[in-house]
Amino acid sequence: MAEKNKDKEKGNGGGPPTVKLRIQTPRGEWNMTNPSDAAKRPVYPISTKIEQVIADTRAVFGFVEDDNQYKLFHGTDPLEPQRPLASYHFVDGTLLILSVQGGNAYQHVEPAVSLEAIQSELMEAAAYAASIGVELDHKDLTPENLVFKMRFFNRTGESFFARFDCTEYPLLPPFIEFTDESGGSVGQKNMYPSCFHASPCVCMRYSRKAYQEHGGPHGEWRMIDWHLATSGGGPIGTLGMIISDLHAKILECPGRMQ
Amino acid sequence: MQSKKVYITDVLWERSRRLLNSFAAVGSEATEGIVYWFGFETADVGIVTTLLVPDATASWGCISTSAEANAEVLMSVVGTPLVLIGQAHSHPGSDVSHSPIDDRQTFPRFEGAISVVVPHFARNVVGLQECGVHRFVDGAYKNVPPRENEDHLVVLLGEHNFRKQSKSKSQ
Repeated sequence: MAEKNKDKEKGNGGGPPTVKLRIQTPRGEWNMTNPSDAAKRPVYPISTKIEQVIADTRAVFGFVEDDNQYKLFHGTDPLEPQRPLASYHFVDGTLLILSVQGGNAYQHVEPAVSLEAIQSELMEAAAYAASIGVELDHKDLTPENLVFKMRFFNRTGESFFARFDCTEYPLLPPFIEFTDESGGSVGQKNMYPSCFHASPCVCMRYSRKAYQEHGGPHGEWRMIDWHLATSGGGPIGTLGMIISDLHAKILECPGRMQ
Repeated sequence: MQSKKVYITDVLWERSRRLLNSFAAVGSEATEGIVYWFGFETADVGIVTTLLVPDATASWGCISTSAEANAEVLMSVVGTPLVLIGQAHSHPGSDVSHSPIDDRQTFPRFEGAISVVVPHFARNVVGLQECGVHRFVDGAYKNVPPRENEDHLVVLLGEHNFRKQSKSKSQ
């Protein structure tokens, strides 16, 4: 077989040298007979790049990529997408594996991506905030400092100063803390409106501090689900909606947490 | 939402739950778990026969499987007629929705794939109605309304002993 393949690599059979592969996928093996209705078979000129084989295999089985990136393996060795088949010296009948990562592990969000999302959402939120008399301060937003501040009022006109740390936004919700006017006394109870959880935290899915892994009371929520509705209300999935919800709650709040 | 109905026996359903719960029992911190469902498909139905647990990295609120870990799973079915039908994974609480990340990163990503979410780290015996059922339709995962769960996934009798208890001849 190896000798025969050497001949093929030299092109002795006429035409460009080719190799017949077998490719195991999650949905079965792609080979010269399976799937029976495949529009294409895994016979490739050896100059073909690995990325083309991946694309063809995905097309045959209808695999959707989204955030995942399909890879080919030979045994346990991953193959480089830009390398040609020839560089691996595969013989006819070589078995490759098409695989892809899975699961739901959140990945790091680049600060520049977070900043763009925050600025975009705050453009809309700013007009709303102005219309309800809430002050928004986002002049210090940078990729290194994904923080903006807001001043809310309750029904007696008392001021409450909130700090939104949006690191990893919009994948993860903002970390909301109440502070004094200068930005100090972060997270102290007497900085919070009395309507919130006594831990203290804003006890909503959109508040990172509400989650158990950040010391909050909610062990049954997952942060990556922060956009979802709860039994107590509909979904809140943007900074504008968060500001609106906080405004409504604080407005009805009689005073400060003790 | 039209997709092939998937069948699994009650034995494999319960075994899936135990495998998911085995993640929660490892170490001091409970984590999400995952199990892949492989089996046979006809033109009309999918039948789960085989449960394969990838070498996943799990934590309290998430779970991930590398392409290498999934390739290891696929190596084990080479030369068989088994195909991936779907997966089950567990969530910490009662919420059995798919997150946007679940939607975009779940390993089975082809038309008709089924993804079942089991609540409370699969600690307790659960019925299908308590689970979230999601189908990959028209290029994306879609949530199945709970009242339609059995249109998509049917738990079959897998084992039952009909032997009647009777007096032995010697008595």
